[in-house]
Amino acid sequence: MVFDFEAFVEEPSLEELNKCKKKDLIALAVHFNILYSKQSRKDEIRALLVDGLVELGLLSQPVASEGTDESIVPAGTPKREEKPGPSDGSPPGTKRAGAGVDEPPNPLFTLPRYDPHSPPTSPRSLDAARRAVRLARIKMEAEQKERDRSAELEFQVRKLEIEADKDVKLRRLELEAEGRLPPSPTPGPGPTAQAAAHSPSVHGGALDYHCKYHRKYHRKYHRKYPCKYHRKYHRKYHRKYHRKYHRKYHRKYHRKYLEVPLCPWLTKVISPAVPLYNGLVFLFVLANFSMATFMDPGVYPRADEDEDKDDDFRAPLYKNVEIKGIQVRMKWCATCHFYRPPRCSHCSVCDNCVEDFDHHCPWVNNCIGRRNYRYFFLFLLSLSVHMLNVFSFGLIFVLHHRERLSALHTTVTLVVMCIAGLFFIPVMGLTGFHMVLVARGRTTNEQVTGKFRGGVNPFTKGCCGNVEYVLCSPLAPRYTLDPRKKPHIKMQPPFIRPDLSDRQVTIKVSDNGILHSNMVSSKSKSTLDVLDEKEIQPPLPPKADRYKNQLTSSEESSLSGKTHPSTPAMYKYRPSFSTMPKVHYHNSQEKIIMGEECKASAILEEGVRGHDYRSEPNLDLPEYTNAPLHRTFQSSPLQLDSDPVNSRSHSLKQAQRRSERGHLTALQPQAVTSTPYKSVFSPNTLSNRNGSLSYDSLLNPSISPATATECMAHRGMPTMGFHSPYLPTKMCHIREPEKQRQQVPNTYSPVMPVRVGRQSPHQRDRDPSPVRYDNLSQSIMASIQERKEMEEREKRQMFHGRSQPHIYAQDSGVFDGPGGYGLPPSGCYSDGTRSRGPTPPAYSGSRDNLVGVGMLNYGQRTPVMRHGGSTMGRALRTSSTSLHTDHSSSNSSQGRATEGYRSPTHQPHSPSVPRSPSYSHHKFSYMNAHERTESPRLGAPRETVIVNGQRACHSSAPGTPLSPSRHSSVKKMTGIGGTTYEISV
Amino acid sequence: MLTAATNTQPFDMAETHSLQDMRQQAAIASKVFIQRDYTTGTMCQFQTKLPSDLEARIDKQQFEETVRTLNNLYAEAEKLGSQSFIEGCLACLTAYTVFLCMETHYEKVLKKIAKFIQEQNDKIYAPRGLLLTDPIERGLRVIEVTIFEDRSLTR
Repeated sequence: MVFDFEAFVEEPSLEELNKCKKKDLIALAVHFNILYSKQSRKDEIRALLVDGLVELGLLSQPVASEGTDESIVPAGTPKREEKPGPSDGSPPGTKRAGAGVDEPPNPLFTLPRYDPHSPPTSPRSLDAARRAVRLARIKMEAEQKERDRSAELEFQVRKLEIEADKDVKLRRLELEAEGRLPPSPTPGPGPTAQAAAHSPSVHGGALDYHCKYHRKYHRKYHRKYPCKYHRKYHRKYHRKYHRKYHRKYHRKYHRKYLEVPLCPWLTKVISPAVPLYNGLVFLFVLANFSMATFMDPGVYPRADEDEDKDDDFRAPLYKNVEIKGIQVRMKWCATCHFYRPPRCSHCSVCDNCVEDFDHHCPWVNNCIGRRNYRYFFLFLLSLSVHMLNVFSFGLIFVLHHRERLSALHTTVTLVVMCIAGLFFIPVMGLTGFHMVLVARGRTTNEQVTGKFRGGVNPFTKGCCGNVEYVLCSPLAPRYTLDPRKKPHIKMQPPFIRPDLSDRQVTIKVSDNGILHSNMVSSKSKSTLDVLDEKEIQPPLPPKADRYKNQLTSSEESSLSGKTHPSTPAMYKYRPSFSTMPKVHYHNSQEKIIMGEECKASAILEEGVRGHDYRSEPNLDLPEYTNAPLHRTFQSSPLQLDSDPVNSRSHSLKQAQRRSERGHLTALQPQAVTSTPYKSVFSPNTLSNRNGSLSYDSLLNPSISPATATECMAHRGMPTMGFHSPYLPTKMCHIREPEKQRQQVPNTYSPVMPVRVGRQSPHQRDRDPSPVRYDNLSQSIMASIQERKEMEEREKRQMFHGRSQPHIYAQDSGVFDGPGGYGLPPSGCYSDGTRSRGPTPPAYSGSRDNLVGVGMLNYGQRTPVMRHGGSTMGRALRTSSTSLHTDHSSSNSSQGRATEGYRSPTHQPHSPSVPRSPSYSHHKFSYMNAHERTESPRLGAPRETVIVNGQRACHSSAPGTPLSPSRHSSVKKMTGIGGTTYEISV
Repeated sequence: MLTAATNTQPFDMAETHSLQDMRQQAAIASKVFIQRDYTTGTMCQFQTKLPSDLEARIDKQQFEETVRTLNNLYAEAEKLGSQSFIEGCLACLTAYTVFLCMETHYEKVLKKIAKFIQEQNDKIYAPRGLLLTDPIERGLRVIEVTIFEDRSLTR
């Protein structure tokens, strides 16, 4: 049996394999890197070899046949099962004995039946199978025999070797014992070591099939190139494939695992979604936190000054508002200057009012309000969720690394868990609190302050609604935006005023009869109209006069302060009263009654308001440089005599110039009131019409003793006592200012004609812009200017008066009284004619006013003066009264005188007018007609006309109906031409 | 009236002025503030009652119509609609960076309101000497109505 190793390697075949000996088989096994055990028998080794070769694809044919054998015939399996038996079994020696016994018979039986070497015939036939089985048996038996034989040989060889070794060793020991030979290496271990090194465990076992390519290439190259090349190619291909696969797979796996550097363990053990989820939650927390921190919580911009102007004066700190039927208090915010809207609160840290204020959060360093509450709430929610996550995942990690608690990762995890756990309690508490608040629709502020403790929360929308509102409502806008570009809108001054006039007019009419306040409302337009007309007339005093009223008031107050300390106080109180016209009215009525009953009451009233009257003179002072204080004192009847004619004449002139028809009308109502009083009219009825009525009522008491007619004619007149005239003026001051400042001048007018003139301009100014007058400072300024202007004008007027001596002469002649008296009226007329020539009605009105005023003044002063002209004064009074009222009959004689007096005045205007009272009546009726036609609503003006006389009526006619009439009446009263008259007398 | 004619002159001179300029030219007589109407809750609603100061200036119905329209617009702005909800979700998903580049629903309506007010001013209020101010400038607390006055009247 010659076995060619090389040939087999080149061309493996089953026959060759069967032929070869065990040694060859072992060599082959080593060559093909097939595992075997040294102790296994030859046929076992061969079977292994066959398997390995089949596996390698080197033994295709035989393997196929054998495969078929094994697959088809179960005999193959027993055969293999038998292998382990012998291999596992005791040393070959024992078996060999048994085997050797069985061996001979087997081949004997089988050989004739099976032809082991016949090529495999049709494998499917039963015969073929049997043949194969037999073949296998024969093979096995032969192998067994051979194995036994070789084992026997081996055993013997071994025995011999051992014996030889033993001899050698003994010999050596003997030699050693003799001490001659040095110890020599034992030859035994050498071959064993080599065998060990060569053993497949080192080679094939070490390679270990660590990858299938390895094995393949191993084997392949191993086969081709014997061992020494193996390493080289191994390395080469290894490197190559390594590099290739390394790169490819590495990259792939790297990427995958590198994505989760945060918690690789959790990623590996639980899911790669864990770090992703935590990252998202963390991002959400961060986003909400930044929104809560940096977002404007809903800060209200502070109110502009123009808005809070009125509010600041409002006493109430709170304003109640009804929300869904529940009263909610709105507190005034002193910093922001508005009533804090419901749910709004002022944050003391941010110093802003914040809408839907929740609280100021120090952690977020921002207020939590309407705009950022949602983000704050979400922040809390997500934060608590995140903390929960961190804690629980940390716990999982730590629990799985219990044995390595001191490792860095575990320690860090523990620390993080501690922090999360510590903060989790308060955060969770806060979150729960806010969840409750959101569900109940409250804010922290409301909850903490217990706003709804007792009542119902008007802001709740139901649980779902509240949550929706917090989470889904559209984001409210910022209120504190950068100044937007404001729209450009062109305001063109001629503004449309839709049917204002009708409404207001009607209102006014109704008011006229009853209250002055209504008149005020109407005044705006009417006054404006009047003013316009007046403005058209050139000579009238400048704007400075406007402020006279105030000035006068202020001055009066100051002056009165000297005389009577109480006066200033009165002024102060005026504004408060102004709001309540009715009250004044009532006062007037009461006073009237009092007056009727007894003068004393009137006097008392005077005492109360006497300062006003005194103050009036003061007003004159500023106007007239010559007699400032004098006048104030002169205002008392006693001083009237001392009054310089010039000053009065000036006043008359001024009054004329300024005298506005409207003033006349204003005077008229007062006169009217007086008339009824005389006629035993109940003053109340008349008084209702105007504040002047009250004045009249005051006059009445004084009048009663004196000539009723006189009283009727002029306010000052009725009161025989000096006080009485003043009293009414005072009353007027008080009441009129309250109702309307326009009226105020009227009150002054009786006392001080000059004032009236000034006041009239005042009224003009005031009507358009009542606000201005409120401020005393402005008025004062105006008054100063006025004074200067007045002085200049006075000078001019003086010149005019002189230039027209004939007029003076007429006047003087008529009156016979002191030239001074005559002069002033003439001067007045001349001025009036010249300046107002273009507008005869107005002019006439002015004259009338003057006359009336003069009468008034005259009357007032006359009682006091009682000069030689006392009769004149009376006559004048009577005349005036007759003119004004029908009552003149009683004063007929005097009335004549007055007629004479008046005639000059009337001449320029209406030469045809008779001097007799009838004339006055005539005019009066005429005036009434005018008024009716022009302004039917003016019931008061008519009456006024009646009282004052036709002239007054005239004035009213040209002017605006209602309001102007009032103004005019006031002015006329002041018209104080009367003062000039007095002077002349 | 002569005075009125003279007063118009300065205005003819001024072609387009900012509001400030206009205020200087046409004197501001007063201001009226229309307060919020809280009866239905804290929704942004204004009282439709015509203040007495404006009775002389403008028709009641016109004014109420304006305020009612404003109220409707504000109600629309504060409605919990799908649009605002989607906006909220989108903002949430984008970590609120969407607000940097997107206009919210409310702001859109506010623009509409500003436009409406401007239009009303042009058409109705300015010719009557009135001027509505966008409530957003007052924190949605009040509608400010400025009353202008002819200079002639002030004199």
